[in-house]
Amino acid sequence: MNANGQLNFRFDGQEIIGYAGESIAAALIASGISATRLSATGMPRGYFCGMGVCWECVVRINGINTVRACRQVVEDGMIVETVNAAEKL
Amino acid sequence: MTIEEVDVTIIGAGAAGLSAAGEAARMGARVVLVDDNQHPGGQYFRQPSPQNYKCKSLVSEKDRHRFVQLLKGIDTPLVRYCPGTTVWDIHDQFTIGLADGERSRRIRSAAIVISAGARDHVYPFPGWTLPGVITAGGSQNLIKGMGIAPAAPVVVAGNGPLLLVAAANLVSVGVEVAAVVEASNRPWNIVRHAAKLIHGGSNLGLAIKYLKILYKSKIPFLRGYGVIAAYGSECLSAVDVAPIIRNGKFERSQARRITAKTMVTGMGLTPSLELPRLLGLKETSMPLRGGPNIITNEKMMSSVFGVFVAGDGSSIGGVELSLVEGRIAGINAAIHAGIGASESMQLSLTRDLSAHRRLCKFRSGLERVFMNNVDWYDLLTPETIICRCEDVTWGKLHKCKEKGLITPLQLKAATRIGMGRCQGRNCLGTLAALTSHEGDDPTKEQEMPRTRPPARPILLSELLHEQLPPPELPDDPHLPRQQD
Repeated sequence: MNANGQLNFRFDGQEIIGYAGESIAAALIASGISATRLSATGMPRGYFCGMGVCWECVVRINGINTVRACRQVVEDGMIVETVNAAEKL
Repeated sequence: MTIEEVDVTIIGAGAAGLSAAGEAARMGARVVLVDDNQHPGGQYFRQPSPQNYKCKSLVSEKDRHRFVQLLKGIDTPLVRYCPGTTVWDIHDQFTIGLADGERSRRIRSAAIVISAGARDHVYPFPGWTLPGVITAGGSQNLIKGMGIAPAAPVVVAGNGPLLLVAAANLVSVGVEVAAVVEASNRPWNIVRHAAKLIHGGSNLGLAIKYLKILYKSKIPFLRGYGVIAAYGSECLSAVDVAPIIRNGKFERSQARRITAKTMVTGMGLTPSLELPRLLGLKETSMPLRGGPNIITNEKMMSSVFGVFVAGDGSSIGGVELSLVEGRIAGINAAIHAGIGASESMQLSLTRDLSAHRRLCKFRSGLERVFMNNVDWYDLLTPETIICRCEDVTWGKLHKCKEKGLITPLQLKAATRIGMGRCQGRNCLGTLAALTSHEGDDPTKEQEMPRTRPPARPILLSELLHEQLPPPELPDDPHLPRQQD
């Protein structure tokens, strides 16, 4: 983290800038990314309720498949990936 | 391993929970305040956290001061505040199971206050699952909590006061709003209900402020309109709006398209009833207050002795009502736990009760202003997703119905509707409405899928790390019978 509180993480390989205290979902929206999940039938989904209720913003973070992007704060070096609900885990 | 015992457990640290905890502690009760969020304040008093907060702060001086007072109220050794902790079970009415990410544990108390808040109610429509379609609450959280604006242009569409607040806030932080689409055609008709609205006090001033912001911005304001469909491939690109005619249906022939990268939507709020339902608290249907509401008496006590429910988690009424209900519930819960109320506490309770009556009058006035007879289910097409987690479409449900599967339970078993991670929070309301809509006997109550623990998804590792006293198991009927 630099002096401005700036952090870097990766979303599907792309370098994303976030800030300390920011949620993954907010950092992605600020970078113009809204689709972060593929549903059971392969439809794109993303941030919806913003308060941890709907589970639409679920992403894979450092290999864990069930993290809600709206509730997880950005940490330096996180590997964030799209979750495909149709994929066998 | 013994179970921790306290006087009062309060679930949720929003407006109602914080004020309940403050009052109960002021009475001298030992309180545990459990909150699913990492920071106190709930949705309304959500505090900006990131360091790059870009938007201008929307928190008024008054709210800043009130929040400081609420935090002072719980800053005592009597209150143990547990953030980031999920209540996943209420085993009997006084023992709750909670999980903090590491392990599960239990707390027993003499009284429980449930102040679990509410969530946005969104009726399904074609395209509502597209990334970029977000709830009014979700938009508020982005702006207020994260200082980040959703992608512009934004269309704000739905029904109710929160929608106007969301629209005004987007305008205030400089987001390009393409249109505000309100289903009710009388949001300006405040004069007719002035006699009731006048009881709102500062609420009324706030409403006028928001309306002024929208009026000044000269953003197209479509009254008596609704979004009939959202379009886009990877994410939202446009929405179609159409006028709503007398019978509550949408006039599709007059539809027009508006370009939008974000649609902020909501048709009001609905109480979060998972915990009340685990306890089987009595409910009543209040369509203007978010549908199913918990029945409470003047003490905010539910149908179960010792269980109090306050704020939007009981009946939708907004922040002012939540603060008052929280105080009433906090005092009464402490009294229920056997703590005597001093004269000054009695006095403050009387004041709160009269404030409650006044705010209820304001609420019913506001409800009249936004009342409508819109048939939101008129928007469904066979491809429309009903259950977002399991991708169950309206067409799929319809096919099941043709095969004779008509009740919510039968449809759940056949399609997995309501069985995803959100545990039916997005779809069960719709399922209930759609099955009763075409049912033969409207007087017969539908048997809905039951709420079961865990009330919210928790990790298996949290359960595995729980230390419990050895269970009192019933005799195993499969063991060979003992010979006397």
